[in-house]
Amino acid sequence: MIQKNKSPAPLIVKDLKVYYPVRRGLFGKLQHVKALDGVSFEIAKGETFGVVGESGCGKSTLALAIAKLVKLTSGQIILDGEDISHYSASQMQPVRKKIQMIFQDPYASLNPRMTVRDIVAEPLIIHNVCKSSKEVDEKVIELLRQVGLDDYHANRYAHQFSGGQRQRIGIARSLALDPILVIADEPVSALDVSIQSQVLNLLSELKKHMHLTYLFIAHDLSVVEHISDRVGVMYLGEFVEVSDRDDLYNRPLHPYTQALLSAIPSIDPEEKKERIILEGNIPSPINAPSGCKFHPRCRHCMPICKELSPKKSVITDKHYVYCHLYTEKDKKE
Amino acid sequence: MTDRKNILEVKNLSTYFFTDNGVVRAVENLSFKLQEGSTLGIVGESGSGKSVTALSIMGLFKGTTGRVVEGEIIFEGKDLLKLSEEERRGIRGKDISMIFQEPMTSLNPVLKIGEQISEAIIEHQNVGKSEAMEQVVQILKDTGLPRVESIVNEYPFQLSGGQRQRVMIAMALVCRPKILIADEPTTALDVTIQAQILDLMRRLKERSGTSIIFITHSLGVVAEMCDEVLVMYCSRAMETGNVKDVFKDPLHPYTRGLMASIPKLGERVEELYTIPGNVPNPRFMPKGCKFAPRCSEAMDICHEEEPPFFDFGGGRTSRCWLCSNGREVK
Repeated sequence: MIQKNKSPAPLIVKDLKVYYPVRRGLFGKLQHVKALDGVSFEIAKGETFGVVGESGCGKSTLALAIAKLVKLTSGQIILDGEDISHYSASQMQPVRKKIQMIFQDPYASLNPRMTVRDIVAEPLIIHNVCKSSKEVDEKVIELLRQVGLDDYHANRYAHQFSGGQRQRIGIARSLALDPILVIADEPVSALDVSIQSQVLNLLSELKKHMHLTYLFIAHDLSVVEHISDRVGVMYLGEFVEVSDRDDLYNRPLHPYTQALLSAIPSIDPEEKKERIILEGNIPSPINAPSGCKFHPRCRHCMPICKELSPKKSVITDKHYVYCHLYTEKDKKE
Repeated sequence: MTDRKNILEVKNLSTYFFTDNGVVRAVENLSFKLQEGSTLGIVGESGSGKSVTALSIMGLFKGTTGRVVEGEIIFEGKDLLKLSEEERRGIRGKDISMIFQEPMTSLNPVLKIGEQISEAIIEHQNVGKSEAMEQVVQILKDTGLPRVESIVNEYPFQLSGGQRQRVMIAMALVCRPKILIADEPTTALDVTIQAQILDLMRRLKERSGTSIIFITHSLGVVAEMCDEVLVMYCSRAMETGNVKDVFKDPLHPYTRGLMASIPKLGERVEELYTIPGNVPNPRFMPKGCKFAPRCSEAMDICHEEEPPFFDFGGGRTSRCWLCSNGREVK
């Protein structure tokens, strides 16, 4: 779209849907959990696209779908100019090099029986990128240094490291193959405050040096604000608002984004901000509400919101929102 | 500010775990006071001893190797540590109750919600089942749960995380405790649900006047909910004081580091401040100040000798040699 360079955008996602079938009881009706219900966006080279939302909104399914780790129901994923939506597992094999993931739980995502060297070397060996085992070793050491670990760490096992160090090992592994896109799914939410900032700084630094492109998924809006260039807010499998970072945080338009931002406790005890407290819980993605999916919890709910799901309202070329409050305005003008 | 009565006073509390691999000093020489009707926040990273402090006050070490080895916990003039298990049972759940962190795992999955909550009422009050159930329905309504009459006959798995946390709060408050200990009550919840629960706790506190100990790792939650704060690191208190004072002008470098290292809404910086290194392994504790190896302001004495508390009046204390202009606390 806006891409003027010769190289295509690292990632274009068009109307992506992932439904999980569920059947309640043996003879129950077949229903679907609509984990992703028509998601479209693209990420430009060198950009960090942040995705925020509460648990169950489909953030992690989005990560898995782009890495083709779940079956797509419909839609397109174009990675580096190549449409991978219908690729089989064997067709995906060479493509996997280009997408790497950093997982949420550094305690569960590293094999406890492997040394750090073997963990970081595994992608290099699978994809056969090094000529000799000596070259693999050299590359492993280089990667460990890049993420702030020492050479002697290579022979240790994951359990000998703290949470922050384990996350560094996971980052080293994800960078081993010079990926085009790094998907980070809640990479700092399992870490302590003082360690979280270390890992966030590392991710920004690596991005600068290695010209990485991130899809950064998190539930913490302040973390996403810090790291992202552009942000998408998800609710029940859909984006409700997508914008460049500054505009989204300075001028949140969707009532859900406004509520999320107002719910964050500030560390200034003197600050008294107006809090929008949302009633109720996220509805079940099996029986999502009609019309706008947010309407049962929305304080600006109008009759039309219950009937019709809102179309995309373009506010600026970088900021768009799915809400009837803004489509109404368009009509009047 | 008027001086209020202390409802709870913890003096030189040390709690150790005697494991096969040696002694883990989970809480070391900890002292604090909880004023009647106020909320004290205990903040620190994982492993700093926050939860063990709560368990020490509750006396919940059965089945573990943990034991309070020293100190006093004075509640209404009595030292809880000198009471028999039976006497403590009479206080636990009635005068002092607790909300646990994970609403998913701390409710009994095979008991109906109504039965679980009425257990505490029947244990502590001389009432029958039907009267207890009336109280249960009332307290559940107070927590803002919908369709209470049917929820009392449901099991925990039928409720969402936020609803389960409301049930936990109802259970803790049903006997109108004088002290409520809330151990990370919103950590497992989403931000919008967290806002609901914090709002609920604030309203219930205003109505009942319960004193609260609020354990959390989130400085934002402390700023919002608490009057006083205690910052813990490596089993010790590092800084205490009124929340407004501590957040405006933190005395201890660790508190300053924590506050600087969290990303704040609206503040866009290239790089976040970081506290270098990791929390030390409890088996290889540094000799002097436990924070010295990570402290950017450490001096020679910090590596040699552990600092005492320096008192600045009004409950403001700091365990740091940089604060030695304050009055030393013996």
